[in-house]
Amino acid sequence: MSESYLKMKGISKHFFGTYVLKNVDLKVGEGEVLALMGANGAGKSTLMNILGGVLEPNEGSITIGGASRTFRSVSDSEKAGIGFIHQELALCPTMTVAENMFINRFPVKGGVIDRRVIREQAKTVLDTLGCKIDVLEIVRNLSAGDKQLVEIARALLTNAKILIFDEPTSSLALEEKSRFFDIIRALQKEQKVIIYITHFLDEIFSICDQVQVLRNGETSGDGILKDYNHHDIVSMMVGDLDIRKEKKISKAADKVLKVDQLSRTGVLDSISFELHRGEILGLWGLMGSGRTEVLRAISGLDPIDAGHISVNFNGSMQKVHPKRVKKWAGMVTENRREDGLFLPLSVASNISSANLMTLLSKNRFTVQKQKEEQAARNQVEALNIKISNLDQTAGTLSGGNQQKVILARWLSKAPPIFFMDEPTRGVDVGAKNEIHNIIKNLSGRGFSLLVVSSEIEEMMELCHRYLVIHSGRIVKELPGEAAKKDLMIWASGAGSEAGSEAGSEAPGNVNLGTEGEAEREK
Amino acid sequence: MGNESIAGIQAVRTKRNVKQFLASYGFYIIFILVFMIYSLRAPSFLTVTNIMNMLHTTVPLMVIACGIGMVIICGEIDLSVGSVAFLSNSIGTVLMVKAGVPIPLAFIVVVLTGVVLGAINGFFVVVFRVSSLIVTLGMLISFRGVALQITNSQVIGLPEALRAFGNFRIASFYIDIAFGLIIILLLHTLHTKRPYGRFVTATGNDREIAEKLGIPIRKIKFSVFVISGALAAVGGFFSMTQVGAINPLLGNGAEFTGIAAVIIGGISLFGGEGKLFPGVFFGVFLLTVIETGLNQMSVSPYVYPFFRGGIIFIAMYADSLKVRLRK
Repeated sequence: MSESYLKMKGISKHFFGTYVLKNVDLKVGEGEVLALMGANGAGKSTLMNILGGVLEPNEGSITIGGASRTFRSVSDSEKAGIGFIHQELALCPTMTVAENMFINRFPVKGGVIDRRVIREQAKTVLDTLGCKIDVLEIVRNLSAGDKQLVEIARALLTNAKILIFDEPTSSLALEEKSRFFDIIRALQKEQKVIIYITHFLDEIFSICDQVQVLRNGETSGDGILKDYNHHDIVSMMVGDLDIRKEKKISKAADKVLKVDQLSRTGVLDSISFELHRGEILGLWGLMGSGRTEVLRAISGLDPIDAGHISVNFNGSMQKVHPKRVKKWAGMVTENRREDGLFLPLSVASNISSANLMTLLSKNRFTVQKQKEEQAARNQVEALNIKISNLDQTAGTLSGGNQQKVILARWLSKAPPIFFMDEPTRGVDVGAKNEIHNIIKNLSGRGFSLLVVSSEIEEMMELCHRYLVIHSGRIVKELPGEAAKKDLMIWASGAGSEAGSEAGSEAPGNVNLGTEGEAEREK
Repeated sequence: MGNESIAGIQAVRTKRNVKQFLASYGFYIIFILVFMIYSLRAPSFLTVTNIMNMLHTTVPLMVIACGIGMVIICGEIDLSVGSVAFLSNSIGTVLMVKAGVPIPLAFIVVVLTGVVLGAINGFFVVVFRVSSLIVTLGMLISFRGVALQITNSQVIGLPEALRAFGNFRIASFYIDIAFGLIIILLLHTLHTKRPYGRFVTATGNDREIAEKLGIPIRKIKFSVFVISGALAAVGGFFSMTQVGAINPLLGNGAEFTGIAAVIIGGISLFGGEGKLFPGVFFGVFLLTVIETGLNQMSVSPYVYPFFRGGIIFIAMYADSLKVRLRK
């Protein structure tokens, strides 16, 4: 195999002067499975979007089967034999399996779609995948695994030679996963060129033979997978060193929130933990691990199937219904534009909106304007929100300032607990720093915070303790000074072979559901 | 997991299936019930003449509803149909009556006006990316204004030949029923059997997914508004010829009865789902049947809007119930 079938050479891509990819090379041969790894924002998706024709590179060339290619659109890339199986499946739920497979190339006979042909061809392709879905079934009624098979079948139908899988297993159940791996192996035997993007380390070792790791838009390592172990890969993903600031760990103070055996079928499994006064507790996990779902479940946004939640009520822990947790907790979400802020309303009204009952005038019936403005002004000053005046509408603020307005809203109400889901997503570096300081300050004042973030640096900056979530369960509890590497290893579900410094004893195969040892900080 | 919980799950599933069945076919059950009740209460109801009369009355709205149906399947909405019907036929009538333009030519002008008005809607939705609700609501108001100006808000009688066409029948079969059925079946074929129709459905499923699949969603969206405009014009034409004159109320309220009929017929207001035939056909027919029946039972006409509103509410509720059941 001297010449690789697919070669990308010197690929660079920048957006507004910021490089997302710098001079990246990639090559995969026929019958090879390449694992493309990297943390969030490392450039994996950009690289694959270039190959898939979604983006055009600023520099670099693509060679397929010895011929140089340029892609200006998705269909250019498809014509060159590239099939992209997206993480978010591109299927139309109300249409049939066969229709979905043929959607952009219906055969027409006598002026109408030739249904017999699409039925038969769809069935033939699905049969080669060993899949017995009825081609006339409506896609909405299929399981996640079957949907993915339909998408793979669609790619095969175009005679795609190169198959890109973006996080293919994130929505699959266990048995669906093993069936999926069989299919990958079968495709490999047919000399397909396969690129496999995933966060899950254990998966790549079972099905991939080559590996390439990206970090900050550059290749930080590649080669034959057998030459590496879990640790090597993680090191390549996150860089060698963690420069960790000294962090004061709050000693186990009194509990303010206790979650007991919380489950939601298929999403969360026996989630139990305690949150202490003044603690910043991080829920750490990869995208799709269930970290956000934990927050949603305990704040009553999603239904739960089992378990209960207790909060500290005048010194004693009392069980409360998830829907009532809101009385004790403020929720700061990543979708501030969608479910956090009232965009057309003024900053003042936004700040007061969670707290109107304390701002009533003497008649106890109407909101007193002066009180509302005074409360808002205090918060605006305390949080350094940059506005021209209090009547400015929230929709005109920058992302960082919008997030601060949400914080201000809850601060004026001062609930003992805060839930924060990606508190700094989409805000600039300065505002991010300020928000971090606000969070730390809250903790210092005795508020307790439960934080979810996909940025590992942010988590390490803030958290006193981590709960690592994987496949909807807590697989590990790590202390605040845990190393980046450990956080990555546990989150990727590879904790079993890590033998990490922070972990006491390695639990068994995480996928089989062994619980991580709950280890309290010293 | 014990046997009890499996039994529990099955019980839940059965319950769910029953609900799903009712949500999907409940409307046909209602249709049959209504038909039976009326047949028992009013002896003149279940006669060939009466059924033909009802179908005849249904034709204009059926044609208009086909256009709305296509737009809704595509994930948009068209509220302007009633005014498009009125404006295009106003122009046609004025040309025939005041300028002596021959009827076939005038009919072509009517359809072309519908196409142009639909294209205006589509243009704003696709090019300026204004929500179709806003665009077509604006056009609903302004097209009618223009038409009132053109007709001077007057009732204008049609040429004799056209009046004869509107109520022409062979035995008790009105000729326009045939035209109405041909139109709905043609559109049904376009929707279910042509790649174009599948693109419309895919666009209504999810704009972004459709785009990823390489479907030209902007062209598709534009085209459904054009189709809707043309069909509104044709539907208005049938309505006008049945009455024998154009009047200032032509097409008034057609958007809501049309949307109601479409939704009763199982086309989801959320887009991407449903069929024109038999769905829309029966949806429109049901509305006519109910009013005719009330009429034959000598119920006061002032009560009709109450029934119509009730049916619209039930249909919308069933639609949102269907969506919830899936989750």
